Amino acid sequence: MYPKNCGCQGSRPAVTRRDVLARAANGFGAIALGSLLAPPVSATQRVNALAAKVPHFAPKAKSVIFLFMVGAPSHIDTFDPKPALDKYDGQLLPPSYGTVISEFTKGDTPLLKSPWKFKKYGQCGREVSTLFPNVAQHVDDICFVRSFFTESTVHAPAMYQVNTGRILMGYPSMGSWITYGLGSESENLPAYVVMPQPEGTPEGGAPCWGAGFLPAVYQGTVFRSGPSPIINLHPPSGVTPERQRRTLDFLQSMNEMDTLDSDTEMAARISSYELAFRMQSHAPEAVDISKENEATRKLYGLDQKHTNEFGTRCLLARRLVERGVRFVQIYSGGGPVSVQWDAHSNLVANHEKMCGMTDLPVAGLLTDLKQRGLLDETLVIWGAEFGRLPMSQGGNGRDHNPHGYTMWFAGGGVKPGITVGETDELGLRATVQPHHMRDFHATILHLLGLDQNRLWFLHNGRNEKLTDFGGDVIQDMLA
Amino acid sequence: MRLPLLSAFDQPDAITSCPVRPVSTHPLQALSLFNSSFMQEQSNASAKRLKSDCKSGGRACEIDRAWHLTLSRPPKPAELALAKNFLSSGGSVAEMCLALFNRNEFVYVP
Repeated sequence: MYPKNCGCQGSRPAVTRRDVLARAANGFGAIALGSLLAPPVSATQRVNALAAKVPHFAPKAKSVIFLFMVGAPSHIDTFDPKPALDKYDGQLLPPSYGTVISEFTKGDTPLLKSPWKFKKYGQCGREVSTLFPNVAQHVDDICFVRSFFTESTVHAPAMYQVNTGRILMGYPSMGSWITYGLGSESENLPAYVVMPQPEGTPEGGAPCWGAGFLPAVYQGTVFRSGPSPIINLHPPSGVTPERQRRTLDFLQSMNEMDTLDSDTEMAARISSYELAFRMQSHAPEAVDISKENEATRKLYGLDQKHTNEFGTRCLLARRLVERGVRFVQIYSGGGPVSVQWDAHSNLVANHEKMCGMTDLPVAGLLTDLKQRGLLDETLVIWGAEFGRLPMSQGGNGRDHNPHGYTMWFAGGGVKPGITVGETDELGLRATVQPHHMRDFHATILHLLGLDQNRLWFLHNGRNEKLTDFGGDVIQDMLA
Repeated sequence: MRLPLLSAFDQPDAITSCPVRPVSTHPLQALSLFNSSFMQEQSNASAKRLKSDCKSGGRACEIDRAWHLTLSRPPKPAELALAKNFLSSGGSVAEMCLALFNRNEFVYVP
């Protein structure tokens, strides 16, 4: 036992706990071998994992804002009009369509026409339903892909597929791969920011923005609503910046005593403390929207009760990409079913509420990015885990449809004012140019200057990639 | 279940197997080691312990004891001077403990 009287320095134990750990680690040859076999790229990661990196080729987009509609909006009631549904309303799905198994229904419920009218907008004459009157004003800037399909009819696995490429949880999210590939442009903010619905996270939970087997530094940082978005950002109450600076200086002088010139990791640790200190002063400024003028606040709907919350997050997203944040993901919907797009019953009330909360802010975001010259280098994505069936559920709702649905893109090197792909006459399955999630991911990486086949990480003896097997860049989407 | 503090330090999730443990260095680690309520509690508890261990030993005893408890060694002369200077310029014993808990030699096994 170590004696209580600490004044006597001669009483130091012959072998300390720390000595044991250090020596034992040297004895484990396997550990040393493991680090010898690790890919050389890890050596540079340890210096500053988030330093900006050179992409594989010239990028079109520098950052991404991914607007994720949790629970799945109905494509056939928003951006993919199906006049044939008016004709067949109330009838059963023709047998030629085969069997359709969804979450709750078996394809034997009557078809349901869209309760909303569609109108043509813009130079391109794109049809958008009356649910999105404000987003509709931007169709000339938008590329709609109407032919995505995915592999699961269940929310969480389908969310994992959109976010990580697999229906299983535990794989790195797209934002993590992108941050791993490109690093960060911001010195004072996290590289990858996630803003969930205040009522709660989506069904898939944190693995939707997890780093999986990539180093933890690449995981999404959740911004909470309110003035302190990052956990532990502020010093404990009573600790002034001066006090904290004094403690930090004391720490840094001790750490410098430990440093050898050859120890790059130590330099990274010392600089991470300085970055943390800077983040404490810069992050609150980045999320402080009080200085935004009246016109901007109005643009995002901050002056209206139903759009204020989502509008605030859209405005934050613009402020973050402006300051060099690489990947921002905003979730519309989460927590209780009443605050999701999951319209199993009462489609009309559900979609009017969710569109009402998001239409104006999303349009405001596009307008604002464009007028600030940021839209060219910012890729905006609007999408969800799947779409909804043309058949009804319980008379006035729609069940899940992973067979064909719409996501749209704006800015960031995407060809504006076009549509890519088609679903069948009823909007059930993607039939013309069907695109798997692998194509979705390959295209986004491509726009950011990353080659899906060169962005990999050794895991379990295998070079893992976001797109796993295959995946093609959707050439028609490129400007 | 991942502990918030450990997950900042690359604790793998238990969902998939993990043949290589990545090591990352980023500011969110520094923020949690400096600002979290857990670290505040530990620093205050240590300061209390130093006080009771060094009833008559004063500052020099507290510094020496703090080094032994965190690093298993006495302070070097330069460190002793740094710590004395820190405490006499307004730093508290709890803040000294917090700095020691953040020190590279304490956080990482070389």
